[in-house]
Amino acid sequence: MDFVRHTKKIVCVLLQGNASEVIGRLHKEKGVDTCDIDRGRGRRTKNPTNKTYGEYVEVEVVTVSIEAERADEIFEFLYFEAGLDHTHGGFLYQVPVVQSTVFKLPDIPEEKETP
Amino acid sequence: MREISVLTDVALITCVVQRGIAETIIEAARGAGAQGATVHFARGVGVRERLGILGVAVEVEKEVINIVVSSDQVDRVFEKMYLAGKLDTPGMGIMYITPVDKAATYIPPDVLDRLSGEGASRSAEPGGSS
Repeated sequence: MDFVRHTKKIVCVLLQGNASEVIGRLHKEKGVDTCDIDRGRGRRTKNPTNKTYGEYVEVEVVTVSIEAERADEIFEFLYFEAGLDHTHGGFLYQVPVVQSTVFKLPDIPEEKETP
Repeated sequence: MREISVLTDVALITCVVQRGIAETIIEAARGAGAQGATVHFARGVGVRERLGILGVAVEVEKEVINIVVSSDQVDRVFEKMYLAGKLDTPGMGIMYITPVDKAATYIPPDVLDRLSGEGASRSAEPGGSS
């Protein structure tokens, strides 16, 4: 088994419907193949000064596993591409990973989009 | 120039409980100061079979709660969640804390100004000045 040490896991919680587009751009522009999407529900305070929680909203959780050297690059890419620089855009965090397996895709040319 | 407000000194609390209990735990976390929570479903294997022999019913369907809090809040929030979920009872669930390198979300400028110096720092996009 091949292992990779010193990787980072980046988790991005965003509103439902945006995740597929985000990871598509992540793959196309950054060459990242190690990400997946989960679904869940989220609650957050209605506004920063109000302790009352808002209603539940459906969210999608994008998880990316990346080598530590590229973590900052991918973190910033996800922050802006997922629209986290806008109100209620979502949340993003990065955690250290002690060890992870190597994930490689087979060397198959990508499908060309038919017009 | 676009900027990211990066939060440091934060930790991730993950709590895995039987389905239907998450709401109670989230309310307890809110009362302790947590700003938000994310919940998704999962299923558990192992404990259910073992405790079934002892007559304790454990739901196989789970809810997984993820909450990111500041480092100075984590112990208080963790304890409140633990007590609310009765995790000291066999089969009720498990929870753990994961260290977080950094986190980011939208922070309104007025709040950011108020919080500056309490663990939040501005990090400019590459090419810009910090």
